Amino acid sequence: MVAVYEIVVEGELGPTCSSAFEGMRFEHREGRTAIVGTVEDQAQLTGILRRVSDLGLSLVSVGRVENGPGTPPPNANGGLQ
Amino acid sequence: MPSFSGTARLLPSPLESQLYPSPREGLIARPRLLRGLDSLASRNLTLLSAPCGYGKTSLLATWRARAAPEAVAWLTLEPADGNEARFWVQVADAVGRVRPSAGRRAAALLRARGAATDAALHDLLADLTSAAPLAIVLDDLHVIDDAECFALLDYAIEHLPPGVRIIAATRADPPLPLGRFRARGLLGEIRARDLAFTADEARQILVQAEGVELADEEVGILVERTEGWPVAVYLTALWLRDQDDPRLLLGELAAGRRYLGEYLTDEIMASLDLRTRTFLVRSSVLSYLSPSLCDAVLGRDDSAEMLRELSSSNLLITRLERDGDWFKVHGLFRELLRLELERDENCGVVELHRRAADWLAQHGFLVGAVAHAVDAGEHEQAAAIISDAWEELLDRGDGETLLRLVEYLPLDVLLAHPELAAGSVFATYIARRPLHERLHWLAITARSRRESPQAWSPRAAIVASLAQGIGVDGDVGAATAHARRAFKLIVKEGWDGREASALSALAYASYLAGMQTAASKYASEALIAPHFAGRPHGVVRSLGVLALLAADVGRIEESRAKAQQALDFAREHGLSATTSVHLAHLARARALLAEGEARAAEAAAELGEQLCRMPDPSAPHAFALVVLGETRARSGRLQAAESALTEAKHEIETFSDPGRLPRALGAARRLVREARKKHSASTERLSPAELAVLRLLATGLSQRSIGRELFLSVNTIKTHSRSIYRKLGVNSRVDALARANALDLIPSS
Repeated sequence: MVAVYEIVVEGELGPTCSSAFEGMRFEHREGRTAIVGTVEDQAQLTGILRRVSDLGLSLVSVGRVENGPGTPPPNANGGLQ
Repeated sequence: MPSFSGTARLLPSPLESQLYPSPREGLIARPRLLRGLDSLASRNLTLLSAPCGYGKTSLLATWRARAAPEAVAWLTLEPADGNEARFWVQVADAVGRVRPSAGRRAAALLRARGAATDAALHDLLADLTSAAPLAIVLDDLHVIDDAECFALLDYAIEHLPPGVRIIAATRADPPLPLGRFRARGLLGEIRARDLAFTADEARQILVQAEGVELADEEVGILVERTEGWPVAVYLTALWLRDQDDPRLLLGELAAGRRYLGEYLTDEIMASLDLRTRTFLVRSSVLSYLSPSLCDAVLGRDDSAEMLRELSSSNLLITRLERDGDWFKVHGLFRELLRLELERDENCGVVELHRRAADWLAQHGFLVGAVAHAVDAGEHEQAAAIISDAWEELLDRGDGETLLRLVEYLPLDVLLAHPELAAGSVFATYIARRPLHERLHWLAITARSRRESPQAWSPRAAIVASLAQGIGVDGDVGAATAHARRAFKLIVKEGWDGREASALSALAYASYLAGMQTAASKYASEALIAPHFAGRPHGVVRSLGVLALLAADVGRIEESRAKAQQALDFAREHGLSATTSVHLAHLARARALLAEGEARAAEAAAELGEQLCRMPDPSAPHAFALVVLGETRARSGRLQAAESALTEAKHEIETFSDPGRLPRALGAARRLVREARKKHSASTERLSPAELAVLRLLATGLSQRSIGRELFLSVNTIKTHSRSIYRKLGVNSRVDALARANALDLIPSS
């Protein structure tokens, strides 16, 4: 299910790291970074978490943003783009 | 489709798994951790579990360098090792590199048996007993993704012989029952909190090793800020050592809140000259670096110098132990360099991958070459690399690698290269993959023939037919037709030297079809075919068929001679653990039976059966089971004989054309029935009470104890025993038990 997810890690991530999380944006929050964006499905989410681990980042939280800004409408095409 | 950008293995096994880091000057010794590792020697599993950058591999490399060389087997795991058969073959090979006798036999057995069953693993563990004391290091366990692998690893950990330990380094706790291991004292753990640098250790790196001028207090601040994360401390040392005012910079680092991996890499890169910076960033596409490879990929001529400089001054590039100059960049550092590369030079990356693919292909590093080609989006290049290599891979008996390589190709590319699909059909047979995989590749071969007729080559047709001719599976008639077709095509196409392969397949298929004369003719022709000696499998198979035929008509001497010839030839060519040699063992079994040596015959038949065992029923295997059943019947082990024949019956029932097997099975069953009749005719039936006493006699209890068990008096037991001995025709308990065993009167434990 497509949804907007927020993955919070310790440390403020910079531009170099942005290519590791394509399609997501960074929000710095007091020494932490929220990696926010639309996630297609669980497989993509697991991939993101793996990148977090590959970079040696400390995971603080993972959460779905309910009714947050930019929550997309249900997929009218039913997948298979 | 495996994910491969940058993480694909570069080098073909077994070379790749020989790469391990040599311990570095400049890395601190960390004696407390080395002592920790030693103190856990009695634990079956020692787990180093911590994220990247905690120095797990360096620690193990240092520890290994201080141990006796034959005491530590090293395996750096890769995602492709995540299947049960491959994993344990890799482990056995790793052991074999330090303890030749132990590991190599086990590796051969595991290869022969395909999927690692508990039994095959059991053999490996038994072999390891003689190799103690031994530590098996499994580096990067987290890349293994396969539940079966972990199930077997669980079993192995529980059953390791004394003196053997497993040390695993991982970034994530593995899916093993760690709680159970802990409770049973089987587990030792070294975790992030242990691996993190203390202020003392940080000071050793910064101040003593790298000469950065910092007060103790400042070192303390750094340790706090980094939480002792070793790679961050190393990066800080690299960054600060050439700076004029380390204190100031450290202050900035401590005050800031940036993610240190990125921050420090940025700072270090900024401090390097352009030449070095470019080298580091562009070479990050490569998992392993050598001067020649880097020169080719980066278009330079100074890579040897660069690598030497960097590895001696930079703690994050290590030289690896093997022949030739191979280096590796530390995982996290490389990750960040690759991100840099992605940001700056998008189009350049494709070219780098393409050049890497070229160089690696030229130097025989097929898997890496194909991985890079695919990363560059060059599927045609990838296909070409595999096309150049597939025949040789099959000749070398390396079905596994071919199957790995073709996995990289998308379907449309495969369909345009029918020889790859056809080769994969053969590879599934060599690699003992399940039948459905062979059918999958056959379907692709057929489809590619329809869709790309212009690319369809006779060799593809030959290889596909040959695979089915040799594999036989469940249709003996079809196998014969395939082998015959392969032979005709070989002759027509003039594919020199392959006639022996097709003829030997035709010989065996004919034998299974019950066509003795044809079998004899083809086998003999195979042995005089042009270049037949260049097809060692064909030779071994043909000799095996001739040996079987001779045994069948009572020419025992000839049978033994031919079987021995086959076995010797197989040994000379390293084929002793392959399927092809199973026929020779079966022939030996039949010859030994004819000479009255039932037990030896059974051993030979067992070996033959193991060597042709496949994941799915197959006619050769069913035949082996029948022969096994015969030998067991003759040695009086009737229950075991029936079990083999029942298994054969189940397999034969699934065959669409079982050839002569039903008749052979019928004959073997008659043998068993006659043996039973003979035994029971010469034996008066034991009464239920006598049977009960007999069974307890087998457990070694005294007659008094047996009496107690059965609530009978000692005298009654003595009477029963005398009657038992009389009926079995023996004089002692030992003989009674032997006879009872032969008649299957005592359930085996």
